[in-house]
Amino acid sequence: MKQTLSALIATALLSITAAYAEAPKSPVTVTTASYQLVIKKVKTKKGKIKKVKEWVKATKVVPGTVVRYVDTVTNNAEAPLSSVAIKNPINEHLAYVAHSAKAETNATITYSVDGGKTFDVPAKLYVTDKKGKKHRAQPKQYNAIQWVIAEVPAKGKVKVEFKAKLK
Amino acid sequence: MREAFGIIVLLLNTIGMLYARGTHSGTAIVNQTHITYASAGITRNFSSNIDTFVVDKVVDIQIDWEDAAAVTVSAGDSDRVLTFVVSNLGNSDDNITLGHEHNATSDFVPTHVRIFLDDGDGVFDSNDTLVSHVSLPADTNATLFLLGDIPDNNTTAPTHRSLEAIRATTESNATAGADRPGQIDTVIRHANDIDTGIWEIRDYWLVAKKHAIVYSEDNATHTGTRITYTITYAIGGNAVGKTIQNVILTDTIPPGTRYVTGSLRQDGTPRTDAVDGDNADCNGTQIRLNAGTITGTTQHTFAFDVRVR
Repeated sequence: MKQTLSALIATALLSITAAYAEAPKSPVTVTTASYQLVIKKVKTKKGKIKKVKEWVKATKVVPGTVVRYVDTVTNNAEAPLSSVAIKNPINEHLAYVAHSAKAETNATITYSVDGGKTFDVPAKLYVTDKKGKKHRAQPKQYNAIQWVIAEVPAKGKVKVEFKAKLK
Repeated sequence: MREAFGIIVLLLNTIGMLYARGTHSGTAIVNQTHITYASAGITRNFSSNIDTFVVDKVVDIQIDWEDAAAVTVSAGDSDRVLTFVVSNLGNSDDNITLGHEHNATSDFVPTHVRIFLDDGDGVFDSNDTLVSHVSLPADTNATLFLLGDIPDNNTTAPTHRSLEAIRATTESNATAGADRPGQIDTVIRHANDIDTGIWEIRDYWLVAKKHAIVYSEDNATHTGTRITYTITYAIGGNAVGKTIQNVILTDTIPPGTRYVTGSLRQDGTPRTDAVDGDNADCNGTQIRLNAGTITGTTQHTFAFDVRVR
């Protein structure tokens, strides 16, 4: 009886493993992660204490902390992806840090001040103040960023990033 | 119900809002990325995972003495007031312990010192509350009054100062150990602050005033017009029975005038210009009087004449 039960469990486990292996892999995955800069003390080979800056997972964040977001697009398919637009809204409690948006590869970077409905280059972004007067938008007023990448190669990855300060 | 309403109104009046110092602790900062791409002529959309972190608590306490200058008091006064403002500059509600500290370098020691929380009108009155701690929401402040009784003053010194401070200390503790992702840790920026106010007994002091008489028919000055300057000096305040020693008066001959030789007068009595046996002199650009000791309520004068060049 004991042997029969063991055999049944083993068969069931095999079935689950097979089912998992057969699940279709998404052709594209995109991940986002937040980091903050910390200063760590490390010991050099000569025994001296040296301060080293390091980006670590954002957990101890207080007003004024600069948070670095890294978005990774992975192409799992055998064919390249074309015209990849990566849109990252900027949380209302964060203020974009000027010139911090980057990409690993050639990318057209534009910004939005209307919550991601439209994107444009900084010179063409305007906001209206309480008196109805139009002003050139400040980087801290951006509320979304878009990177447009011509192609992500087959089985390739592209990373983009930006920094924002917690208000 | 009526009482409850009264309490709410009191709290709103008592605590002032500051400009925002930052995102409130516990706020979840969420991020999700979206991508659009073309594949085999079809536009597709994907969304990323949702990245979240929680804003930690910053403790930042500040206290400031608000009176513009030393508060003048008299010996024997009761319930004299020094005004302070305690501020919660952190991003979370905080409980703050308040304590009085007397500076040992003070000339006198006030008694019956207490701290009151203002009811919102900025003036100490019977509606204010005796406190040893306050609870302040983030980005708010509260006015405090330090009250004390001034002791009877038996010393002969003209001015005495008492330096009295309030120390404000957070009741929050920094989170010990490693960071706890997803939970609100406490980070201490300023756990406490202290500021010192001053009570000053000005029992008596030296008063000096200068005035000019222009001897001119048309009240205007012309070349040769004579002007008499008179400096009146005396003991101000509680002058009866008081003495101030080593009083020296100096003054500069005004530009555009020349000193009239031999015009120095103390209490109407002529004094010579030379540095000699009397107590006054003039070198042509400056006059000087060694008035010595003055006592009581008597007013004295020191005068000199000039002519317009």
